[in-house]
Amino acid sequence: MQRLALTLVVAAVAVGFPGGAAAGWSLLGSGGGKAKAKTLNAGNVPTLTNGTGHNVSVSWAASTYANGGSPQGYLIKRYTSAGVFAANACGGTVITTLSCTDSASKGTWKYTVTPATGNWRGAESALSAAISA
Amino acid sequence: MVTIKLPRKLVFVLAAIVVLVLSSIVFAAWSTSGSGNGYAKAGTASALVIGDASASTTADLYPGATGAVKLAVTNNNSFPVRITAVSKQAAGSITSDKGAACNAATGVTFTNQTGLTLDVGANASATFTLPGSVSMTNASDNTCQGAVFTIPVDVTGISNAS
Repeated sequence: MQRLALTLVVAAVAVGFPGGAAAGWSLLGSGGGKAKAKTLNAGNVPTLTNGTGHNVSVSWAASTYANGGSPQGYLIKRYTSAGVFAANACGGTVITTLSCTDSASKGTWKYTVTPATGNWRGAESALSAAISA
Repeated sequence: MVTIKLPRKLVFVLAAIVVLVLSSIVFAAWSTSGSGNGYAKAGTASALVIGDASASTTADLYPGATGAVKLAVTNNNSFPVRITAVSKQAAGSITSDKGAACNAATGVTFTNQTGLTLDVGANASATFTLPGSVSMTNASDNTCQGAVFTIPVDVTGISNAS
């Protein structure tokens, strides 16, 4: 009986301290984890073709983030041949494809492309070549 | 084999003492696992130190995406530690290195992590990656492009002696 009790005591100690005195201790730490955001590259200069009437078909190559991935869409702007801003083109909303048709008025126009994701904007592209609508 | 003969009463007293000691140790271990600033347990364990992991980050966050959080941990104890959970401090705000406009609308949220098995050796440092633990919404301000975000977290670990 006594031997059994002693064995139980030794076993209890062995189970309670499997890795020494430090086993099972809880520790805390506080501080700052870090995460990093991408950057959105500039838009690509669009190409233009004449559509019906004074419409202008605008198309462009996809932009990317600095280390890969594509933006949600693009904003298209129309400028005069002198490079003066005229209007937000293609409805003035974010275009999620790589082309659109702008209902321009008669004149000579140039266009730019700005990548857009949420509130993020890439740099606006350079002006396209001019087209007579 | 040496046989020790002790009085029966003494054996049972010893057994009772061992049970009481073990119970108090177990209680102490669990009762110190709450949130708050780092502390030392019984004057023999040091809090984990969270360092600056900015240099280890990879730009992977953008509106609509999830990304990873980097965590630099130093264990100043003489025993190894396993990190089991990382949670955002309830009163802390996620900030950036881009200033007020971005800080006002980072669009970044952190998902608390549990069940982790991140091991740090005795008197050692390690940098860990928590993949998919952070996400960004379209609310993120334009000035947040390229930002390094700081997420205030509490880290919970347990001694990991083998």
